Amino acid sequence: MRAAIVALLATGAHGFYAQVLHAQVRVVNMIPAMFGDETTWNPEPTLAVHPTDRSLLAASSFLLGTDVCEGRTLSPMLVSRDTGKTWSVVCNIPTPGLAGLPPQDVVMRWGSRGRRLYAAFIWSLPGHPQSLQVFSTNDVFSPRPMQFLVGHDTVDQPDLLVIDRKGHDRVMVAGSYKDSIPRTAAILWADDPTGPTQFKRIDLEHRKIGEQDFAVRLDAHASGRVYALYDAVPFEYKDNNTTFLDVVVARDDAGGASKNPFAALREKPRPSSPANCPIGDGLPGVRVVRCRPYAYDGWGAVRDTFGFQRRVPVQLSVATDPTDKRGNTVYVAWADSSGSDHQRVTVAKSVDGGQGWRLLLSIPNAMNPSVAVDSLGRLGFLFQQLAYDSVANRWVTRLLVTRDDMQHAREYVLSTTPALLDLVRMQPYIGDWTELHARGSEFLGVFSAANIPDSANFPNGVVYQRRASFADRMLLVRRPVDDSLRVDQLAPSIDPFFFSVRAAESPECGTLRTALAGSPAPVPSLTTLPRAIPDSSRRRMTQIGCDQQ
Amino acid sequence: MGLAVNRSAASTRWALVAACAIALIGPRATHAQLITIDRLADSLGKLRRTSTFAFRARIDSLRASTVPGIPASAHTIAVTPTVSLQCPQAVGVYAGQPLTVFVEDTTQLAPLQEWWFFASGWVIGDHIGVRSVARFHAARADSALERDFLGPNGPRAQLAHHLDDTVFVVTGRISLDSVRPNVGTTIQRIINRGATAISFPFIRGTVMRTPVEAHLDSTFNVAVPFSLIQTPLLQVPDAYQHLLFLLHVTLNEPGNLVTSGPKPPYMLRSADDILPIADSAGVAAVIATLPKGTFGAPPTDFVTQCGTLPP
Repeated sequence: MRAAIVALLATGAHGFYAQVLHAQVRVVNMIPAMFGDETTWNPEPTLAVHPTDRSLLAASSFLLGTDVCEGRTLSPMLVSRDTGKTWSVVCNIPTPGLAGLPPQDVVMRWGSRGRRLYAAFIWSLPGHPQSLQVFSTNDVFSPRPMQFLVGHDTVDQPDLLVIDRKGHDRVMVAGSYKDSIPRTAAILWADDPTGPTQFKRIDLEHRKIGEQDFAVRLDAHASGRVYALYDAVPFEYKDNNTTFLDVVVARDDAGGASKNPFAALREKPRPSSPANCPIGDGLPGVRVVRCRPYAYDGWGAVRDTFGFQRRVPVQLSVATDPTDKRGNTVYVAWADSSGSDHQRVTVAKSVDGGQGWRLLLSIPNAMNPSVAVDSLGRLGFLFQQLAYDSVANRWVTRLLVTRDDMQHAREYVLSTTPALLDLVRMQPYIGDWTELHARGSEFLGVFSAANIPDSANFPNGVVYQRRASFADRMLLVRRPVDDSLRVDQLAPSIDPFFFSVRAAESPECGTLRTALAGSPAPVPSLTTLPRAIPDSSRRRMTQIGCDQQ
Repeated sequence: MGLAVNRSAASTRWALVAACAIALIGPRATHAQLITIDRLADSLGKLRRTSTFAFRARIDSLRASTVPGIPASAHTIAVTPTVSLQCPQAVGVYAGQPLTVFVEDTTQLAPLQEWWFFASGWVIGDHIGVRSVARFHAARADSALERDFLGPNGPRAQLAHHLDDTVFVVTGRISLDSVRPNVGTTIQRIINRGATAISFPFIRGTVMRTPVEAHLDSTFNVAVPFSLIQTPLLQVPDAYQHLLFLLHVTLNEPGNLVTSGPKPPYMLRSADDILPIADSAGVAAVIATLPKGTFGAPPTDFVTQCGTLPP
């Protein structure tokens, strides 16, 4: 309790609270106080965690800089200097010709020693469609725009990885590079880049495929191993009405600079392999699963059947286990539509460097999977699951933290917010991804959700920097007006949220266990949404991360 | 390739700004005020398109910072705005709140002086930091600013004119079933005045009216083109495209509009909240495309917040 009070006091008088925070879990609406009149749509958040300065974080979301930053040339990012308690908008992402849309598919990472922040995003310029842009800065608060590093036309879904190579930043920019035929997953990389000529290219795909038009995700292990996770449309398995995908893992054992890069992992023949989608061709890149159907929603196809959220095959995540010294333990997560539900997210594990895979958990009606492994070897699995409701469906942002491959897990509900037609601006509704990072034994992450300030929407509490009335469940204009005839209500929208989850249990868990001792209720399946759990103590335990046995 | 495009655009822009700044604050401008005012007005227009903040401020101290985390340096000064002329929508009015200005140099600046600053956003958190694009000593700039921003041909006046003939401004999707009596009365008053259509400054909509009477079940239907919502590039290139501004005549009471179907995202604001939008370069560009009418007197209850010049 003391820790909770300290946490409350430490945040000062600026925040608006749903309730006293649990010290172990912090959820923060990232819209800054002085930016509190914004009503735009901020999905697809990304987070960069500084490797040495624990207080320093950078983040991005769809943020429009048109009338805030310098005319039509800059867009904002979000920066925190107090480990996510408060955030500031900083105008430093160059977006020349800005007109109505913020930079897209933004990803940001700090260099391995924290000297520079790198940002990659998609920005279409005249004559340069869907252009990848990569920038960096040595001071996120600099009044100067970030420095341009490289541009490349027709790229989608970039991911950034920056690793330490003998004191230098090796910058790797993965993505779907559409200038190849067929389109292919590829990586641009350079050491301590200062300009475009230094970048070299690695094409990841070694197979004959239909195309690769979607995401690529990277993660590195301290051993120098780099894993790349991507999906590809199988060449031999086609259906005009359905998109089929292979989920592929490639590996490089020399920081991405092997003589034959990302070819360390070759697919071995398997005893049983489906005839129409065989596995075991001996080529680089192991296919974790093959020929998975995937729904693809066009612009006009999005309905409330999936919470107004589109389904596109960009949802991938990969994480290595830092406690495995050799870097053999790796987790992947992806989404597909293989079940009868609208979309399913699945997490799988390999303990042999990506050769063999075991499925750990599959969550129905969910999206935006993100995995990370902490210094205790615990797997964090973040996703957003749709809870169907007769009044309004809800997007429930859940984090599972497990030590035993999802046999048991601490479950956290970080938000449960309504999916409302009113908040739909365009697609994606709340974004095509979330991000989860581990720092020591702490998990840090970002997600987007409806910003209606209702304490029932945030079981672990929440801090709003912008003005909000939890009593009236409404956002308020930043500067209250004196005229009593006026109403200070501000339109709700989609906002980015930051969260951190520490290793310790909430003190409330002990009380709940005591309450349960008299009338034991069964431990629910991890796929079960807390709202479906009848026992109130057990339900609460699945919201605030209690160990359950 | 991207580099060339980026730097070319940035260089041109900064060259323009620099030229404006030199023209505005240079010694020759000081000595040729009649000529300078014309040039000043012309340059102010350019500055309006480049800057996102414009305010008159008192310099509190040089080599100072009001933003936590931003260290004081030879390029940072602490000021307190007394007037905020141009306000980003997400920030709103900031007069009276100390802020930090990043300046290239502090020539001629001293504490307690009053200056107009044209600036762009730098850091916006619990406090505001901006980058100065240009600055003018307050004593010389007031008249030109008044003419350019607040005069009868300025964007503020044009928007005020549009507001005068507009019951509400729709920038998103809305369908109304009914309006409360005071709104119905206002609509009737506008109709009686001879208006044949209600204009939507940002989206041209068709207004289908049924006879409006001053009772609770008055029906007022509005159709707004949906294509603008589904094609984001066609939206106004600014941050206002999803707001419904309810004008002062409704007294901002929620429930004055009853929507058919799901409640749209909206924002209850009065005329004095809307007028600052005219100072946004993006919205001003849209307003400039609209037919201009006769500029009428401002509403009697008009109380400016962002855009008042000192008496």
